[in-house]
Amino acid sequence: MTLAADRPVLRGVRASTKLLPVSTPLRSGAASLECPRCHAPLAPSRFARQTECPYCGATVRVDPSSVETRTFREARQAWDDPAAHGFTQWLTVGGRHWSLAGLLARGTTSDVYLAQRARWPTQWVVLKLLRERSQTERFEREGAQLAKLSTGGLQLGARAPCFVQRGVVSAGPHEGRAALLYAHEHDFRNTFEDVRRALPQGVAPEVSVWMWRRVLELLAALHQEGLAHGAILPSHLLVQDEDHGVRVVGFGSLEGATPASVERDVRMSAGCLASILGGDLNSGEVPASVPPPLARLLREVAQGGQARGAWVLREQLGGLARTLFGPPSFHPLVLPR
Amino acid sequence: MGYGNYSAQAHDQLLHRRSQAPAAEVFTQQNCHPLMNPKGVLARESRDGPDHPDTHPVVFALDVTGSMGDLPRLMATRELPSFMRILEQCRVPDPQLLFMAVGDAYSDRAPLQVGQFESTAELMDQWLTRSFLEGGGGGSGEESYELAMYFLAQHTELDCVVKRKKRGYLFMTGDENPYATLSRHVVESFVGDRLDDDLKVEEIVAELQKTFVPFFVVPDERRRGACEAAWRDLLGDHVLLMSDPADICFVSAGAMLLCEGIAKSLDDVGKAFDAAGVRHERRGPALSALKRVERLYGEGRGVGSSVASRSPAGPVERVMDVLLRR
Repeated sequence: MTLAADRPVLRGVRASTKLLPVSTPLRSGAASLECPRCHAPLAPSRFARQTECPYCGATVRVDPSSVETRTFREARQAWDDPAAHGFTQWLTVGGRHWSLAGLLARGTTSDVYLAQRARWPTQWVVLKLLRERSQTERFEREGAQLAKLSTGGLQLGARAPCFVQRGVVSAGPHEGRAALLYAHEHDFRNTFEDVRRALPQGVAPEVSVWMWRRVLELLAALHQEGLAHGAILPSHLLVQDEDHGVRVVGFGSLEGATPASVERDVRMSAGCLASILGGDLNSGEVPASVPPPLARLLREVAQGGQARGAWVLREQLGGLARTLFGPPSFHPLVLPR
Repeated sequence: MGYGNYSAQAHDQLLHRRSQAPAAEVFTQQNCHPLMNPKGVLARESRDGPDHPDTHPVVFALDVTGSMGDLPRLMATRELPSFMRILEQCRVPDPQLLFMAVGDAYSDRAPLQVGQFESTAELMDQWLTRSFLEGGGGGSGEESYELAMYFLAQHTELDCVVKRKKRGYLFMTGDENPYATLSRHVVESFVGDRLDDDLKVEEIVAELQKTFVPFFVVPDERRRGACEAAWRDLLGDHVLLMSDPADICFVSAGAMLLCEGIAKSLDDVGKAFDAAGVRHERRGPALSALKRVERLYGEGRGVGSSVASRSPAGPVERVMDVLLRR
């Protein structure tokens, strides 16, 4: 109900439970008020922000600068209610509601979903739900490492997925399962495995150069921080559509950097590259269409030849690419639709 | 406020004279300008008028602490006309700009400064350059962004909301987290309101969204680590990560075009950039910063400023189709 405001407005009136905008004159020279609804005299205490009319029960605000936090609290409640945003099903992790949008992949120990925050503005995330309870420790370690990578001020920058949250699903579908969430980047859709599947004959060698260099940059940053990834596999490398970006995921095997673990990361990266060139993941052998110097380098690194750091190899690869293909240029990965 | 018409030519001329000037010559305030002091302000108004029947209020809340001082200077000496030119090219009617300067309520003298909504180049420029670049900020990793959002939620009157049920836009720049709680004492000191309790930042953001579509803009990749997680928790994919602070106007205008549904994709935004003469080397990075916004509002889902549209951008299946495209 709204009362007519035919007099100068002081602030508002609230009828016991409902806030009503209204006018309330403060009589000149007197500290008396009258109720804007029933005109009964009011006698607020000296520092009161509001007072209740003893006759009609309306609550009159007497301090023009007073602001009720109730409006803000109600707004937040509505904002946090997924149903208010049109969602019909959601799961809750650590007080935040997420709506599953579809299964992205089914790993050996967990299911990977695409999900969005069930409010607006939303946030798209990758939500990993642990399936094998026996792997809880490894799953938690991955979450902890990812959180550390995202927030620890490491030099990885945008090369690692941005950690969002981890915890246990406390309500909704999949209740009780451990969950790990990180930001979903929709232009990093395809893993090296997907690329191999789409292009069984392999990507162009020019394309493989920037892909490998991106992986080596990430490994160099990781190794510099005293960490080794431990599982550089085609399923853990995501490649960017229409640009020169690669992301690494699957941090469950992260460990301290030792000469052996660093060498293994670099060796595995060469295997992954051989694989998307249409070759063999383990031996690093590639088809004859790959220029021999590049094929030799891949084979040598994949088979654990001369040990070198990720950054040194990146530089070496850059020099080789310049000799083979000329100055760096833009070669996006184009997959058949 | 908001009388008069915008002239790109007048704006360019204004900026040309000072393009090489150092910040100290452009921003001469040594204290909060009395007209930008928010204390006791009832409301900043964005009103329709005969010249501007369809106002689109846009707020730039610029972090003016030590680490962020470059951005206001870039806008005042070079970039702001690009923002207006892009909107003009895309026929966004009657934009009205308000500038705010944001600092730290616990360590700065002027943690909040608020201009007025303006339509003309001269007046926009006047409020921007009246900002006092205090260059302070605390060492706590937080700034008083929530105080600025509170002011906008509580002390603005927008005709677009009242008459057309459309919200204004807020582009807040920064490189730190907001304080988790806004103390009622801080509000009373700097705004003059007497709250009955402290407010959580989530409560402020929720209330703010009744009248504004908020975006938080991080100036470069280097600074994302310190603040991205907290802001994403609040604003999700409305956090824009730029690769260079000079992109602020392109990125803001692009986000607005996508959100309004004027641009259906980044290609459309790119065309608008080209038509407005955006420098070639900034085109790609600016578009790159808008990828997440395109995902939310691209392909015709852009009705983000409508008050009634604070809901998922469409049926989940449709969004999935767009996202996965396998």
